[in-house]
Amino acid sequence: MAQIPLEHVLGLAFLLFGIGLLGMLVRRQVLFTLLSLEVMLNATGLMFVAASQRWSSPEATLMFVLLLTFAAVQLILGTALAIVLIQRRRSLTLLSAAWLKG
Amino acid sequence: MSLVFYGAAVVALLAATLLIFTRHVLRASLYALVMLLASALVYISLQAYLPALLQTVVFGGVVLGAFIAVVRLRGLSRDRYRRQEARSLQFVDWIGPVIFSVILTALLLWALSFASTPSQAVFSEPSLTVPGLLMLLLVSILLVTAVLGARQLIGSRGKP
Repeated sequence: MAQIPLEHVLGLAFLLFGIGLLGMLVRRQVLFTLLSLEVMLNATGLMFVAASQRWSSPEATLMFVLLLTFAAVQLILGTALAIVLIQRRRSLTLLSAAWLKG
Repeated sequence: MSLVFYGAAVVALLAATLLIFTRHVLRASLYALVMLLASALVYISLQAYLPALLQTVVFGGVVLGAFIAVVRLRGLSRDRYRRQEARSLQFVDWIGPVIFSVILTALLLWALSFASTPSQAVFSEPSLTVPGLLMLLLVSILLVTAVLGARQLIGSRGKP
């Protein structure tokens, strides 16, 4: 960490987050939306790791572990929702889930 | 180590961009896996070895699980699945991730040639104190709940 400046790590995380946000806005299919969310969460985890190494705080590493679990959980539940969508609507676009209420 | 960082960063950015703009779900899963491995290499260049290990095992495993789930999704209609499988073995599908993986392997070997005692760095990570153990307990409860919820969601249609 002493060789690589923190600004470069944060710039990389910012670019990754922007790419993920662009993918979530552009793509219509559920699975691509999930993968774009993974990119965004990965960028957030990169910020946590950079902060953990910069200030040598173990709490940030614990937050990174929680973030990893959150990403895994949203991918599992999102894939299950995609399977339900394809079972009931024969479609994978997000607009086909517009019948959900509440 | 800075060469490792910048090389892995370029690979991660390229893989994320290609992930967005590809139309093939399986190809996108492979690009996501490459992006996660490149991020793990970035963590190694930051000398954070525990997050790199977790990233490779957990995220890599999860993406492979999504890969299998997508195959299951496509298997719902048999003809479409066959066409998908025949098309998924094309050269253009796997050449991009293979090139990126070769670059990442070269960068990893370059990083390992600089590595001083990594075992010391691993054990200077946070020790398992009581809040850490509580966090791990919460994390495992969350994972079990997610898996049970997904099982309930998928299996709810077949029940009378």
